[in-house]
Amino acid sequence: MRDIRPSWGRRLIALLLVGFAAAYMVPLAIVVLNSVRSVEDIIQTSTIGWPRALVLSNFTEAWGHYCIAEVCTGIRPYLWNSLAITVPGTLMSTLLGAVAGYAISLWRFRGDAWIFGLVTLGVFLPEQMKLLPWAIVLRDVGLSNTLTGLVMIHTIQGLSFSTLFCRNYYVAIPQDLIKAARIDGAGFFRTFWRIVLPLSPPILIVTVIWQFTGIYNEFLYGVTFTNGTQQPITAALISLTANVANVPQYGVQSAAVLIAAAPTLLVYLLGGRWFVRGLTAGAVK
Amino acid sequence: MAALSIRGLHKRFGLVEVLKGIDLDIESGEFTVLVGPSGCGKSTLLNIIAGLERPSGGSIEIGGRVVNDVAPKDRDIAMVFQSYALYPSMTVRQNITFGMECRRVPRAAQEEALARVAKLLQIEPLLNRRPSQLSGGQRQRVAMGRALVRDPLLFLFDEPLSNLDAKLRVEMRMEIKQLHQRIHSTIVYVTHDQIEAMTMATRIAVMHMGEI
Repeated sequence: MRDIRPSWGRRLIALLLVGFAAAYMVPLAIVVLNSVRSVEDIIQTSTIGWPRALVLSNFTEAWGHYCIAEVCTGIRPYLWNSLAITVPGTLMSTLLGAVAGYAISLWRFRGDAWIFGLVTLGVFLPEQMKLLPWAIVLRDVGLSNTLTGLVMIHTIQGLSFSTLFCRNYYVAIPQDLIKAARIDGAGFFRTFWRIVLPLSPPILIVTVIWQFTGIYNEFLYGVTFTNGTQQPITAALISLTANVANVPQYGVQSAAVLIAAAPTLLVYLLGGRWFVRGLTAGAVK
Repeated sequence: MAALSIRGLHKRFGLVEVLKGIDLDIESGEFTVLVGPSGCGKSTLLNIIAGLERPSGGSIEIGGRVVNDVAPKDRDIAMVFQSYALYPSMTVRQNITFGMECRRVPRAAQEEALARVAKLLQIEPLLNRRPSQLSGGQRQRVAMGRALVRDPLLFLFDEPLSNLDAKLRVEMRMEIKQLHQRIHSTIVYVTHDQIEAMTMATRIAVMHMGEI
């Protein structure tokens, strides 16, 4: 007869997990609570506490009216900036990475291992190391302080990840399939479009989610290569907190943070399940 | 005129010489089988005939035309693979007409060729299914249909029956043989199974360590 009560080891693990979850959730909980408290409430009581009364004006204030570096439009334009950078960056790096991964894994050519190694190296290079080179490149092509410049940076850097993911996925596709396509008369792109791409949804979803989250949350390049109205929301939030008012506006700041976090949270809630499935899926049954 | 003519064919992978001077003539309508143990180079030879790999030396003529530098799609050949190599995301119908689509054959001609082949192989009820919904024998027939629809000078079979169980293998052997007798195609068939070779071939080429 087996004892159905969980062992002490299991209970310890569960306790640890709950502890970690709490450590993650507590700051979020404080931010959420503060976003619905008025300024007087926070100042008079403390930054950590239950709201005396629920106040939604923080959100409207943060969205459309708050002043950041003397521009009083709220964070809405900066959110659009971030999306204008993230969406094209994600789409382009995913598509290009898929073609690159496809070329490397299914069409052997001289030096393919070297090229794959070089592209993948980009995954491991720290951001800070590339700061200066990118600054020079942006200046030379005239894209400093533009959204286009950031899109370019993120697309190219995203290529490393997406090529790596897609290539590892595509090696599972049998070579015979490509041979049959060649005999049928399909060239490089037709084979990609008609045969390989329809087999790709799992890895494409993984890549899109990864890239979207990474590019949207990116801070260093955003704050270095743009300023003022061209900043993505990650950089704008810092400027927002630097705003010197009579009284620290924790409520509005908390609301701004939550609004900024919304897109990636949404992506996680909607696509998180597919992310894990995609990572473990095979290309062909 | 020989359907296939190979002279002095060599193939090297790095320092390893896989094919050491192959000479072979195949007349139109013959069913030639290449037999040999694994690693003797028969699949490599087939790939070179198909144009999927380039030889290191020697010449290949198909239908009297030197095809050393001709792409696989222009060599007037068709190939059936051991793993069937059916396109998983397309229906049977699309699998068979894909080649014609690439060559921009008009719709009407495509439908006609498809109907002819489907009737010949008795795969009409399967046309709208995906490969994952077919049994091994059905997939093999669809793979043959894809080859037949090209009406090529030369059919290349690369151990097509190795994935099937014994009973199905015997049935398919007879089907392929009957097909050959009916349409008088020229076939180059690779296998490691001697019995298969002896029951099906009009000529047998035994390969060992890169030589015939």
